[in-house]
Amino acid sequence: MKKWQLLAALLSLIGTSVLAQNTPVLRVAYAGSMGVVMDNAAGPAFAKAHQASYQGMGQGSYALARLLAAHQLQADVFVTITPGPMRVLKQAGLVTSGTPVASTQMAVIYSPRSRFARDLDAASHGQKNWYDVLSEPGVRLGRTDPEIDPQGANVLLTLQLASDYYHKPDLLKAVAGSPQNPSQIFTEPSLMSRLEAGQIDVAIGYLSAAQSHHLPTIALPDQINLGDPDMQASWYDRASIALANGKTLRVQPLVFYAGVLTNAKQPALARAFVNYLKSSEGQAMFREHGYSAPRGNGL
Amino acid sequence: MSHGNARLSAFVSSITLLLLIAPFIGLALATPWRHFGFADGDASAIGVSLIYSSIALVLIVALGTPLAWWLARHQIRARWLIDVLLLLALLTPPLALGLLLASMYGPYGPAGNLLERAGLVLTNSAPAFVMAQFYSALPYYVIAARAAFENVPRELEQIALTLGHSPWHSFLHVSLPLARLGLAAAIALAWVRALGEFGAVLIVAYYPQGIPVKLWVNLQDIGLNAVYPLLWVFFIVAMPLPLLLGLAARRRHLF
Repeated sequence: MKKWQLLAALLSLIGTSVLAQNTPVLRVAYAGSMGVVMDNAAGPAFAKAHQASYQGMGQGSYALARLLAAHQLQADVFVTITPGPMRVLKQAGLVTSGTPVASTQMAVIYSPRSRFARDLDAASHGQKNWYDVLSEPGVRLGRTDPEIDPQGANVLLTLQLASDYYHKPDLLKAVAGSPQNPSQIFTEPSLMSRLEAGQIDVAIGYLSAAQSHHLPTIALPDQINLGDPDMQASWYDRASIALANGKTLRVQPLVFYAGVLTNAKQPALARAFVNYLKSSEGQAMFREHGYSAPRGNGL
Repeated sequence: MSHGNARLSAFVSSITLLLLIAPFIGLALATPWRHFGFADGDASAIGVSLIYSSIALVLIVALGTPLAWWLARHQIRARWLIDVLLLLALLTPPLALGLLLASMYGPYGPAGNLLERAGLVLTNSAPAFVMAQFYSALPYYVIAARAAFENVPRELEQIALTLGHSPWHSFLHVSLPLARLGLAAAIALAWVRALGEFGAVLIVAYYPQGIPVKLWVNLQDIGLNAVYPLLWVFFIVAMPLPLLLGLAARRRHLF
C-alpha cells in the first residue's frame, strides 16, 4: 500500500513538472544591480499576468552581453545599464533596438554601521562636504572594477567631474587613489554585502542599488551624478579617464535599456515584457525600488 | 556470463568517458587557434595562481595531516561533532564561504581587526587569496587523508611499536608509506580545489588575480576569445602535480 502511495506521489510530481514545462518560460538577462526589482517585482508580476514562468539571470552587463553574443547563453530579453553592453549585442546582430525603461544617478552610499557614519550623516544633510569625509584617513571606500564594470568606471568619472565642480584638483586622487587601487576594488556582490555588514565604510554607486539594499545615501548634484542627459554636452563630456588597459572612460547616460533578442524563444512574450516595463505599472515598480523615470532616446 | 559483464562494463565506461570528454571537445572547437593570444595580465595571473596555491597547499598539508591522523587513530568522544564540522566546511557553497570569511576576517570583523593591527591584511591581498584557497580545500584534504590513514592496518603500527620503535618513527616508516596512495590522492584533490577556487576568492581577494578570476575578468573585458587560451594554460600548469602524484604513488616511488 505504502509503495503505491509513494509511486502515486512520484507520478503526480512528474506530472506537475511536465505541466510546468508547458507554460512558456520567459528568460530575462539583466544588469546585476537590478536583481531586486527584476526577480522580486517585475518578473513575478509579469509572469502571473501572462500565465508564464519567469527566469531572471543577473550578472555584470558586459559578461552577459559577451555570453549572449557568443551564443553561450540564451535569453529572450536583455536589460542593461548604459548603451555600451547593448551595442555589443547590436554588433552581433542579436538586438535591433534598445528602449529606455528607467534611469538612475551616482550617489555616495554608506554603511550605517561605519565608524564614520556620523560624519557621513552630516554630509547627507549638507553640514559637511562629502569629499572631505571620503578623504579622511582610515575611510574604507569600495568600488567595482572600472575596466570591466560600468558602475566602477562611473565612480572615477563622477570624481573627476567633482574635482572640476568643487575646484579641488586633487579630489579624484585623494578619494580613489589609482584607477585600479587594489584596496578599493571588489565585485558587486562582495561590495554590497561588505557595505551592509559594515566591513566597508562607503561606496560610490547607483542610487537605485543603494535603495534596493536599504542603505543611506548622499545625493550628488546633477553636474556630477551623471544622471541628466541634458548635461551630456555641456558638462559630462569634459570627463575622460585613460585606463592602463588602453580603454578611455567617458560618461554614458545612466539609463537602463531593454531589448528583445532576435533569437528569443518567446518573442511575443519578450515584446510584452519590454512594454510592461514601460507601462505605468512597471514604472511604479521601478519608482518603488529607487529608480528614476527613463530618459533620452532609444538605441 | 563474465565475458558479457566485461563487455557491458566496457560499453558503459566508454559512454562515461565520452560524456567526460564532451566539454573539452567543445573547448578544442571553440578555441580561436588562428588568433591564439593572451590578454594583458594573463602571465601574472598564472604566477599568482601557482605561487599562492603552492603556499596554500603547504599550509593545508602541514595543518591537515596531523588532524587527519588524530581523527583516524584516536577514540574521540564527540566524534560526530567533528564530522559535522568537517561536513559543514565541505558543504558551504564557495560564494557563501567568501561572504563568511569577509565577515570574520574583513577589516572590521572580529579576527580581521586584530590581524590588521598586527599588519596582516586579509582583504584583497596575497594572504587573503591564500586564506580563501586554504579554507576551500582543507576539508577535502582532511577527509581524504583521514580515509588514507584509516586504511593502514593497525597491527603493523603496533608491531613497529612492540619492536621498540617510537610512535613518531612508526608513523614515519610504517603509517605514512602505507597511506601514501591515499595521501597522494588527498594532496592532488587539495591542489585541484585550491587552484580552481573561484567563488570564495572572488569575494575575499579580487586582487591579486589568479587564473579563475582572470578568466571571469577576460570574459567581461574582451570576450570568450580571451578566455580559452588562458584556460589551456591553466590545464597545462595545473595538471603535472596531481598527475605525477598519482603515477608516483602507484609505482611506489613516493615516500
